[in-house]
Amino acid sequence: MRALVAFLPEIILGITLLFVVLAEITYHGERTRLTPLISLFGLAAAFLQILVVFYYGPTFVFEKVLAVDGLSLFFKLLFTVLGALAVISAVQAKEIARSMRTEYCALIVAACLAMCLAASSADLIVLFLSLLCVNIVFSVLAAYGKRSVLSIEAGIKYLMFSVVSVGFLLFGIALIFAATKELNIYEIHRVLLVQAIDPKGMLVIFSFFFLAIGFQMAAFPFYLWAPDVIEGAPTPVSSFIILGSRGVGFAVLLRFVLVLLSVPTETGEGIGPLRHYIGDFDWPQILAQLSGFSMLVGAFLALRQKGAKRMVGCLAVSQTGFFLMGPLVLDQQGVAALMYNLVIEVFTLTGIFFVLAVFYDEMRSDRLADFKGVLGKAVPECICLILFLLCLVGVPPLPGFIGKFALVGSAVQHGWTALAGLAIVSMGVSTAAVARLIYAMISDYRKPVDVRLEFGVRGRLFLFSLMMPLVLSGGFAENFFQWAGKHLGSILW
Amino acid sequence: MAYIPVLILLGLGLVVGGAVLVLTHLIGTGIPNKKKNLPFECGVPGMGDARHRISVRFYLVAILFLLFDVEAIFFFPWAVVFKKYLAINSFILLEMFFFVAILLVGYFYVLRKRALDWD
Amino acid sequence: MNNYFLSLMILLPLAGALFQMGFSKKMETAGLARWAAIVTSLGASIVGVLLVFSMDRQTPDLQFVETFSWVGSYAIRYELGLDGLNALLVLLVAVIFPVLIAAEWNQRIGPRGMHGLFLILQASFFGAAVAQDLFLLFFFWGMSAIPFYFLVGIWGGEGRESAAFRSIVASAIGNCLLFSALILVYYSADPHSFSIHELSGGKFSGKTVSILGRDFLVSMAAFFLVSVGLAFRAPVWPLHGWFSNVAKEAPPTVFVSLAAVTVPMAIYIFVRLSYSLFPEMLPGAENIIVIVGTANLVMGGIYAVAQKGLRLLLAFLCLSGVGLGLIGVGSLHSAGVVGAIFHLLVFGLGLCGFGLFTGLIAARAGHSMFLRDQNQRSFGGLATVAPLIAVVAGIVIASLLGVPGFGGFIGNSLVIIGSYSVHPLMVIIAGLALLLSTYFLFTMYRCVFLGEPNPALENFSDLTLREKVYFFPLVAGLVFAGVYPKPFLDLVRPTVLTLLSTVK
Repeated sequence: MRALVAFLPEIILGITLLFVVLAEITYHGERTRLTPLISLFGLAAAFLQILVVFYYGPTFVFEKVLAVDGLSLFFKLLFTVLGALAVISAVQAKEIARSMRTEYCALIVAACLAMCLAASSADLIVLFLSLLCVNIVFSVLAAYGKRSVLSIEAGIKYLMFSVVSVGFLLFGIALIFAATKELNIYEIHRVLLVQAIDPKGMLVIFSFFFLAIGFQMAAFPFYLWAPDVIEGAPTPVSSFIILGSRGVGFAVLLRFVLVLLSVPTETGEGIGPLRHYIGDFDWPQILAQLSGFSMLVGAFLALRQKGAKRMVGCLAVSQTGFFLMGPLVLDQQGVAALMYNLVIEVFTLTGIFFVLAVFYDEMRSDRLADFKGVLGKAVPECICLILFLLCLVGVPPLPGFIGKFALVGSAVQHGWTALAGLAIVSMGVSTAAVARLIYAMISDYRKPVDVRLEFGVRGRLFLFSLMMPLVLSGGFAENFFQWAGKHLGSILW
Repeated sequence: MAYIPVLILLGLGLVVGGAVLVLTHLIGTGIPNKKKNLPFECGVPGMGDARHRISVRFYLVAILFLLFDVEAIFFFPWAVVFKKYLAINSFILLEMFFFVAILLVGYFYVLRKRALDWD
Repeated sequence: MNNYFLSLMILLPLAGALFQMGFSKKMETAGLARWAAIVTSLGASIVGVLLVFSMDRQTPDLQFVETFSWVGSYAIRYELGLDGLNALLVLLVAVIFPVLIAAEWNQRIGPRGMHGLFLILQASFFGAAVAQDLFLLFFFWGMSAIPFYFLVGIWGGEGRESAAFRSIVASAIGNCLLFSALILVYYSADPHSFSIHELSGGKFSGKTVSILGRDFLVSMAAFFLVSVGLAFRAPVWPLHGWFSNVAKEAPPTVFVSLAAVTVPMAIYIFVRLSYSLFPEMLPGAENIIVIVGTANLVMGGIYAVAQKGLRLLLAFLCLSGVGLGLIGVGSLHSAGVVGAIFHLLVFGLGLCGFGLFTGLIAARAGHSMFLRDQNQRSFGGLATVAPLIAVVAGIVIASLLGVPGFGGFIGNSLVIIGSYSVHPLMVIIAGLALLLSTYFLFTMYRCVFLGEPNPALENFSDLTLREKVYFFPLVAGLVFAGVYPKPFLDLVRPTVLTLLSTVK
């Protein structure tokens, strides 16, 4: 019975999915307004249930197949909030036609369910299944703008990349299974403690796993899909894909790296600094190089882009490089900093893509050259977009800076000073890239563009509700770090 | 050592197949004729090349069959342990009802969206 | 005991900026919006001025300290305090920003935005001046870089895009370097801390950091990063390209806020950080600082001589001022350093006056080139048409030159007295460069004000009432500082003496 209570958020999401599908086949025409409400209701119920499960403490569910602990609960909260934001922003945008809205909500809830499963999976087969499900739903979502060539290209690209990467994941799983005869991550950990695999073998296994996870996260050699998919997919979908994909990637990477590759010390209230790596396999070196390359490549690519959505996609690649410093450091502070950054990024990127979606609806284009003088037309919304962009890049008064500082600081503390230097350089370069985007909006302020940019009360309210968490998280950063640290301590062993 | 027959089989296969090909090439007559090179369509005259598009409904039916067939496969392990668990609790029946209900919703979706209609 | 006046001083302009957004675009409320802007700006300035004047002149310690813990996990404290070093800068910011808002009273394009941005700048400069925690200092210092991008990009001239972009690139580079220094310092201190007074007094002697396998002294690396980072933002001679570009494109009031406030602030931060955190590096680095300062003074003078327009003249004048300040800072002599700080205040006021005067001329005549090709004058004899402007300009220029009776004289002479005993050669070169400034400033004055009145300038109006109101504090400040500098010098001296004692 306790297992069912711990699993209840996923059950709620599944039931919501069923109801949304039923709603889609029974309601036609104008009654489609109910479906987003149903999905929002389900997502909110799942969110509340996750908060309730926090108080039950960490458990294993279904014969140790799923691990419900602080890490997975945090990511589940993130994913349900993400789903709710995706549903709300799609309702306001014209890119998702009214008739397709119900199907879209069903896909969002399905993706959330799969992401929650992936975040809490402790068994490699469940991991594989849920990652594959996430990727398939995302590729369908990416191709959602059915008339647009770019959108179909985005969908096919995502499908191809994801299938190949999940195939490699399966290969890695097969190799680990052949080596250890176990499929559960924790059992594998115990076996490896007794007799570790040869470092060369571990290198192969790690690269296969990282191929899949790196694709999810848009990390260095596997980031090529990100700018194209972000540009091609309809704008509300872009934000969902980029955030959901990277969230899943980090959830899986954290659990994988924590359990399979390292032996942390267990202090009284949480994970202490790492002791040694299983089998003396020096994965932090690889991860550090990939992180550094991601940061630089993302920032320099963003500088050269001519389209707003592509630029934000490249900036997201650079962000991934930053966030990779979290698993690199892997003590309580580093992982808490990573989570703080992820939360900020959810609100930042959703806000950016929301405003860009309204621009796209009116101007039919997201090229920088078409943005001239938009500031004059919709002043508060443009200011919100500017603030979101600056927060993404990590410019001082905004909470993004505190998050970036926390990550860079943890890196320096553990001796990765060269990487911290690269991080600071990439922060500077991405500031310049964002300055180009902002300039496109503010130039020719005196001759505003001849379009009507209507945001409406609902749109403004939505933007405001996105700005509020940003402002608050700056002031309450300390509370967040302590909360994150306390709950990270409950990662299961 | 136990796999020597396989090797012999492989070798024989290669030899026989290769021999047939080579011998037909060397001994057979070689007068190509336009009518002799047409693809074989069971004796009736050919209807043109094979490049017309195949309707996507075949694919839909095949995929849907696959999904529901896999559902049917999942019945088997359940059926194996059904009797044992029925003695403890009737919850196992309910479990299968939930599973079928989820897939039934999917089936209704397919029906309503007319994915199985042939026209 | 925490009193909250310093936070009030910082928060009032921010609240004013937010409040500006509440006003709609209609013309009826536009007037109300600008009154709200100037009231909030004046309010914060009055708080600042009152705090400075009620400071205790005898102690070198921090006064009006507010401190509470902000992000405990990283030992970041919200700590503010006034002492001798930043009191004069608070005065500078307090005087300049209401004057700037009053100068931009009749802005037609996006007035609420411009006033809001000025208010944000005022808040961030107040914050950067009084912050006593490194993270908080960087927070406000970084915040002050952003509004310039918008101010130049929206209200600038023809080449504003590239000017704004260059300014943001230079600021980003400077901020990144400063940020690296910050992190280095934080993680080398044991226990980790950001608070300036906890880190001061040579805590880093002997500590090394290893980058890519090679070891560097923490103090040396951090000092280098701090200097270069600040050199990007307060333009020091080789890195000043963006600054002259912005001078050409930005509206004069915006450029005043850049030259008259950012530059002194950068030098103040340099003094605060190097004297408090890296005192053991200073005796070794003082020669470099003085050489760089002299180079700035000389190059600024040389560039200014060749100028035909008021805007670029202002830019290179600023460069010379930076040079003089650096000479004073590098002298490591009490008179020199006190003189440098005083010079920052007076020079800022003088530059503000000069910049506003440039704006006046540009607004009335449409351009600010005082010499055309073949050295033909475009203005001339303005002294007969607009005598008040001539007087004001004359006072400002006299102060900038260091004529006795105005503030510039006190600053210049203190710096020279302080440095002569330590670096006599540099002081001689500096003196010659000051002669250069006499030449170009007098030439400019002659071309614009003296001589036969130019017939094209018949309806060149004299100062309006609003302009008189906002020039008054500048001129009065310069005269007062020149005639009775004692209160200011007494404020600065105890802190400077304490800091210098840690250096020796």
